[in-house]
Amino acid sequence: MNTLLLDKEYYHFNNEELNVVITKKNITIEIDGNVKINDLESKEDINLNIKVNDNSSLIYNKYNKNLSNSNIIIDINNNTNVRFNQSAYNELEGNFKVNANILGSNNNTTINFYGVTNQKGKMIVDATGDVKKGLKNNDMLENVRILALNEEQNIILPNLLVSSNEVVINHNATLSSLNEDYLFYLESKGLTKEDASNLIYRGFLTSKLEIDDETKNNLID
Amino acid sequence: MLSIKNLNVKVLDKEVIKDFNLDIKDGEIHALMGPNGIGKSSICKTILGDSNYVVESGSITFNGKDLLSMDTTSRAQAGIFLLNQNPIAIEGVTNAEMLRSALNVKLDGKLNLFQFNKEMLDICKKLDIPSSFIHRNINDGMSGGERKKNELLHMWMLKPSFIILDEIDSGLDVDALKLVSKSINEYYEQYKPSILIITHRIELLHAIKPKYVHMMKDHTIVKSGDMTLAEEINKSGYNKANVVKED
Repeated sequence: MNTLLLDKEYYHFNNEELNVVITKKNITIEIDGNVKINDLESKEDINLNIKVNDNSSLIYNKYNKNLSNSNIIIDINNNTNVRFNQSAYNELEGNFKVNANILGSNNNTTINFYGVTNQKGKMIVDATGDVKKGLKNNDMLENVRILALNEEQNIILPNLLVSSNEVVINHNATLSSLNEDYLFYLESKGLTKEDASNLIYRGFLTSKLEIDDETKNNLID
Repeated sequence: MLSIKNLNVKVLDKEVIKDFNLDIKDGEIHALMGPNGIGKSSICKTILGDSNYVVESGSITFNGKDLLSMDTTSRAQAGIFLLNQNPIAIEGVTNAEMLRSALNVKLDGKLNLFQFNKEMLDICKKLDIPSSFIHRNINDGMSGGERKKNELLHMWMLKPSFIILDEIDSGLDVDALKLVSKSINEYYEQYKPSILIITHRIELLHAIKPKYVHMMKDHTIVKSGDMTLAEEINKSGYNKANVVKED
């Protein structure tokens, strides 16, 4: 798959599958047709606006480490299928926003945000699903989870702003620490606590990313 | 192999094991039976070192070593394996990743990946499970029967010398129970481990024949015998079985 350096303010992708590295802070990406984007190596804070045009399908996989600010706005029009999967690992404080604006009808939208905090890391995640008035047949899931490997207090602000009567919209938000049952299970198979913890949090971070196993294995240091 | 002496265990200040004694020698198969809530699974968790199970007094030695001074990892690496009645699922962690990590610790980082992959494939074939199990998340999205087979995959790969089967027959249909017990018997024939079977069902004990059967009541073993005790319990129930505490 091609890897594209995105260093300009605007890009338009049409029926493409690509890896990207984004270096421009303020950037707009417009989607037509079937598009899959793996954004797994970008290192900079970002204001990203994704516009999904009518009759399009988007899978966007995003992984970042130690971002201070990540602001994603996804504008969704008619007859689309969108899965936005973001994973983030932070050892410093980070503010994350993911806003999905449903502007049309007949859309199926999934927003996954999986975060892990470690050392001095802390996350504030603002996830908003906004369905405008008069729209029909929209289905949306907002799934936000943060796993803390440290003692910091993370915050999730899940918002559903629904002005339409014909919508199925769900959200769930979980804040947790390492599951003791998982740890015991893996240690009872002979893994060290450190190996068990690493496997659990790496598995958590990559579980929603729609990428191949080799990419998953190489993703997290 | 395993020796438990005068063991008393609490969970959140509640006694779950009282004055428990059990000796299992190399290659012996023992069965532990008893009503629900009597402490059978608590023994399993205590042997493996679950931190929720606090040992108040007594000892457990394994091959002459003080098990209670070892952490769970060391106990597993020493050869103890628990096959659970309801194995948990772990999202995002595959069988292969977990087994590679465990074997790397055991082999001091000298795991031969080619051999590892070949052995995994051979065992999948032996257990009649698709090779895709290797890269599936641990027990994630699997039925009860598939989970038991998945645990057997772990057992064959890790090659334990002491196996605890904690109500593995629960939730298994007749065919799945046959397959699971056949696999355990094959493993026994090949590696001669010691086995502790915890069960309510005589069918499992007919399939994996224990030499000794113990009955628990009031959080301790109250009677020991051979398969005739299991048959008696099966026929008359726990209350009517002849309960006389051993000297």
